[in-house]
Amino acid sequence: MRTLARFGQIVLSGLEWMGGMARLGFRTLRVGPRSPLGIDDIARQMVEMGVRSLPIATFMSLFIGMILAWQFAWALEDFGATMALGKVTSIALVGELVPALLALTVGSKMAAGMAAELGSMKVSEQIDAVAALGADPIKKLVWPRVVAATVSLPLLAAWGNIIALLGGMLIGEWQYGVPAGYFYETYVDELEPLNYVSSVVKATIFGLLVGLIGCFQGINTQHGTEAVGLSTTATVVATSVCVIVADFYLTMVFF
Amino acid sequence: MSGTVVAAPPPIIEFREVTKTFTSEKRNSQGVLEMASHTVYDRMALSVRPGETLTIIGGSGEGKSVCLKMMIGLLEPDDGVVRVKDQDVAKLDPAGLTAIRRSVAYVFQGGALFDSMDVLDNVGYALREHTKLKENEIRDRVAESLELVGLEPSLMDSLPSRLSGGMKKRVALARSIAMRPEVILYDEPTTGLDPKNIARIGDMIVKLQRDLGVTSVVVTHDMPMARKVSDRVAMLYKRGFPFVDTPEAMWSSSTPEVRDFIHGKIRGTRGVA
Repeated sequence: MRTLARFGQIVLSGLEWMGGMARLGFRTLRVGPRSPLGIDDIARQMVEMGVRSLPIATFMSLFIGMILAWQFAWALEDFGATMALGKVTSIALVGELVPALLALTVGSKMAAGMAAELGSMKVSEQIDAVAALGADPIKKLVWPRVVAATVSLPLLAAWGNIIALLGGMLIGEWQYGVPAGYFYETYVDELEPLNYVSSVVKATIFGLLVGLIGCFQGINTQHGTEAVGLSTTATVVATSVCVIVADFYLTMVFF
Repeated sequence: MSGTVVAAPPPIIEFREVTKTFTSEKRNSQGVLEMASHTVYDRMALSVRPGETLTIIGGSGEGKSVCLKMMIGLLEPDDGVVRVKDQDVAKLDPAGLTAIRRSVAYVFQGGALFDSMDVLDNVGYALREHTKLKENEIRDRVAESLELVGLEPSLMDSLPSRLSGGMKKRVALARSIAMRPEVILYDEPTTGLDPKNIARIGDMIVKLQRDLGVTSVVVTHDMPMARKVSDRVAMLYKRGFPFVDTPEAMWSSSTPEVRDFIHGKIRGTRGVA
């Protein structure tokens, strides 16, 4: 009975969380696009989240490309098919690994940053102060962050795709003797427009989720500094789970 | 309890039969979540007259700040009506709420200054949000507001993290008066300050009421300041305001609840220092 009650509570809180997220999403879409758009705030957030995430995105993508190329080349070597390395790594990298792993790492970092910042603002009453000064906290705080995350993540994924290609190329050339030019040609030949589209769409949806989760957790932080820590941890978990689940459904749609 | 009977003007802020309960989740001994509720107001009534300084006193955690937050719609009553400038705050649309918040300023307990913005942007926030003033006009208004609270305009480029506690409170005060509001709500404005800064904030409240003609509602635990700045004092007791009177009447009150609270006496501990 106790286990059943706990299970029921978990289901209820999950539904409540999703309802809260949906409400925040609708409110953001309703008030955000109204004039003024808040371009300055969006640009500031894009620098904060996107530009400052470039080093980690580059590092991650390079190693994702190198690791995948190494593993595939190792398997292909047994069949004397290492020259097919570009062909076999391209779809996995562009359609799945780069957008998903960047969302799980860079996206979680973005979301945790948003949750910590907005959570601190919540506990120090700065969010109430925005409202008390006659501004809408959703418009001033949530909208710029959600837009910045939604735009930044696909841009980072596009950059990450190039870097991952370079990573694969490096391993192919130096470790397995696959000429870089040949790797590039076979890599690009294998990709169809749908693969690029799926990469961008996935990264955009992951970005939207990252923005909404980070803001939702931040503005719903309870009282006290301990709550900011709890909220930030919960954000990383929620972002990872939501990205993986969304990735599954998006993969079903595209493949 | 009753003071001198005068023909009172209609209230600028009025609470009628207001009830407010907070619910929160709590784990019981078996680890199952249960809802716990805490009623802070039960059919509470209170009115604030235009131009007066009303001070709200009462025990910690009893809901004094809740009362202020309901005045600008940051919290809504579960039941009853909160009227500000003859409008039901809970029924206002976003534009109406914005209009109320332009004329009713709130000074938060910790200042609630925006960490990422300098003093200029903090104090000029509402001016940028609601007016079409040019940048130099905003700077002038910010400088004027800082001077009104006794701060140097040269502080404009400083970040809040570089200011002392007393200065932060005064910058928060400057931010609240930048729009020249009709009402200022002070949420424990002297918490954490030294006696000199407490006296300074008290003087500011009196000065702003005198110079700008604002109505003030002050929530405080500081009894000397409450006595100094108030036209009336309201004591929160048992989810309502049963004791509202002039500071003189409250300080000389023979009602045990009022007397004990104001003079800091703990019942049943006679003889304990």
